[in-house]
Amino acid sequence: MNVMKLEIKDLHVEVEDKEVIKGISLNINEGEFHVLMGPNGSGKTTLSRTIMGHTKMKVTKGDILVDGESILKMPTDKRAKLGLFLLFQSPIEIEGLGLLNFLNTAKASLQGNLPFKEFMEEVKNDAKSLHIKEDIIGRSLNYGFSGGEKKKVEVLQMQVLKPKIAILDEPDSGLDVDAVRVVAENVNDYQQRAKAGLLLITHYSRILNYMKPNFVHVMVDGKIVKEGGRDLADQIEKEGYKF
Amino acid sequence: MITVESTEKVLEQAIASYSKMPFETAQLYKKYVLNFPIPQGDAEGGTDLEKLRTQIANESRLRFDLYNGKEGTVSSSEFVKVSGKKQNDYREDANAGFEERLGAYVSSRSKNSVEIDIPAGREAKLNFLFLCDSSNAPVQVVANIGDGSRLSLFEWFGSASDARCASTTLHVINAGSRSNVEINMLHNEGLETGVGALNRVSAGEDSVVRMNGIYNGGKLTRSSTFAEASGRGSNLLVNEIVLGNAEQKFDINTFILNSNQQTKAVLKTGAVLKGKSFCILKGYAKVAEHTNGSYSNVEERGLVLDPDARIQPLPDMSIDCKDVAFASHSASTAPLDKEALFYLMSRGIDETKAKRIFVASFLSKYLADIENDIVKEIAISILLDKLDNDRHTPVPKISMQNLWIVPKKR
Repeated sequence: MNVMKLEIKDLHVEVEDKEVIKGISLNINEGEFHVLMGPNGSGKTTLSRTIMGHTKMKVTKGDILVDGESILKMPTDKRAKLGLFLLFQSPIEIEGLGLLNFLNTAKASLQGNLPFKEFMEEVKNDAKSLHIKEDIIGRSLNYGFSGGEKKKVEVLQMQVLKPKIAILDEPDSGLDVDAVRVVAENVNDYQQRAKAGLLLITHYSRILNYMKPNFVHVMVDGKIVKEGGRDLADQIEKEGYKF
Repeated sequence: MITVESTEKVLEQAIASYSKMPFETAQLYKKYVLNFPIPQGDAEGGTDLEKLRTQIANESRLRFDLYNGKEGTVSSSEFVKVSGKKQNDYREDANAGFEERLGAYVSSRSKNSVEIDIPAGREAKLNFLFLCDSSNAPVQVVANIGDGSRLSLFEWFGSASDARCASTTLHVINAGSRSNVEINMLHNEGLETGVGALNRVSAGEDSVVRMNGIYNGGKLTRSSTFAEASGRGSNLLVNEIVLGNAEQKFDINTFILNSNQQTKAVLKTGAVLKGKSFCILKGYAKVAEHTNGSYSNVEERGLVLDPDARIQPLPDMSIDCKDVAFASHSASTAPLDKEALFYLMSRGIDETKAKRIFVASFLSKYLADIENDIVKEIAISILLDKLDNDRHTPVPKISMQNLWIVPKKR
């Protein structure tokens, strides 16, 4: 079976005429678990949004490839259809758009229509494992949700939409200790079940207490300055980003 | 030289006129008025209204209890009486304001006056179809809803796409104590038709009154609504939806008044504009003296989809009571939220569909307040048909598949 490959080659990105990403290369294969750490303002979120094709992120040099093909000219929805997924650090609230309808529309766009009963069963099971209250499912997308509920609903979307490679932009920020554990367990479970590739972006190693990443990358000022395994995250926790 | 006394007098007069309706009297707002020509006689041309009526009834799968068109009036309800009675005391005066002139025109020219009388403790669900063409056919509706009664009224106003006529209406709604009333007015006239609407609503003690106005058709629409939470404990919601495209123009003027204690009066207006359309939203709330514990809110929201479309929201408020529970007014307009589109597209939804979802979600905040599901279904179908196809048709395709509105918690 062919595994999906995401390659980032010498990527330079400008946001409003300011260079934020200054030459990053990174390969992520389906089934691998990568962690990207870095201080505030180092460009982690810019990288994640560039991979998903946000129009404000201007690629000035380098390339992003999926299975050897450049996706730079591909609109965001097509990238999602290839199997990419972005868990948002600050998910958008849309009042009036029912979460369930949104999920159903997104799933139909990616995988075709699923019998509604089957779809509901899947959503309910995933929501239960994330400890999402039932009434959340019937409400508007992220509207009036707490920070923790929003993050859990992002993970729920990942589980239902089943991407091959998911970029998780700070799924742990704003969560209490118990919620971090629940989110981590669900991400682990999804990664193992779907053999998905993950790029988890975080400031802290707290969430990694429940996870087993294969690779840890450290990003400072738009560049990857150090790479290693799980122990690199522990070192950052103790010493900070002084390299 | 201005004396203190005369200054006070001027101020007093200014406040008095402002308290009535600032959009008509205050200098500040005088430029925000669209001139609606009150018809002088019948318009030119003619249309097969029977055919239009059949098409609308078939497409909406709706039995209309009252049909009022060129050929006269068809009515089939024990609660509805049609007569030639003049229902109001508007004066005919060429120098009077818009309300006075429109009221005088409708009441003097209307061949059929519709009287709805719901006796105490009864319940009625009524659907009316009003079509206008060369005869202009002004419509006056007077509804008296008895104590403890329920009324759900749906009115579809239409005309043929090429009908150069005036669709003019006058509503006088009196909701009795403990009554529950929903008035839904769908303006879906053709794009050559002028729409002039005058609405007077009064909510009795402990009543719940919802008035939903959907403005989708018409070349130039001017509406004036005065809604009063007059009975103690009454709950009044005026909910307005505007969808404009091409060169449509709207002047939506609404006045909500808390005139008794423990009352709630809310005005919610949502406008979506495309093309070169233009809309003035004038929402005014007044909380009268000695209305302790009252709640008042004006909220105007606009979504501008094209660079040449314009919305001018003008929320205003006058609080004359020192002990209100809540009083607020706000307005905002914005283009499509690019971050929201990115979010939707990151889930595999293409750009066209993502835009449609975003606009439909905006509209659904207002449609969710409509309790009558059939009206909700028809309204969202008509609005999405216009958005999707960038056109306006008197008989749009109506589909249940578009119903994906978040249910409102009651």
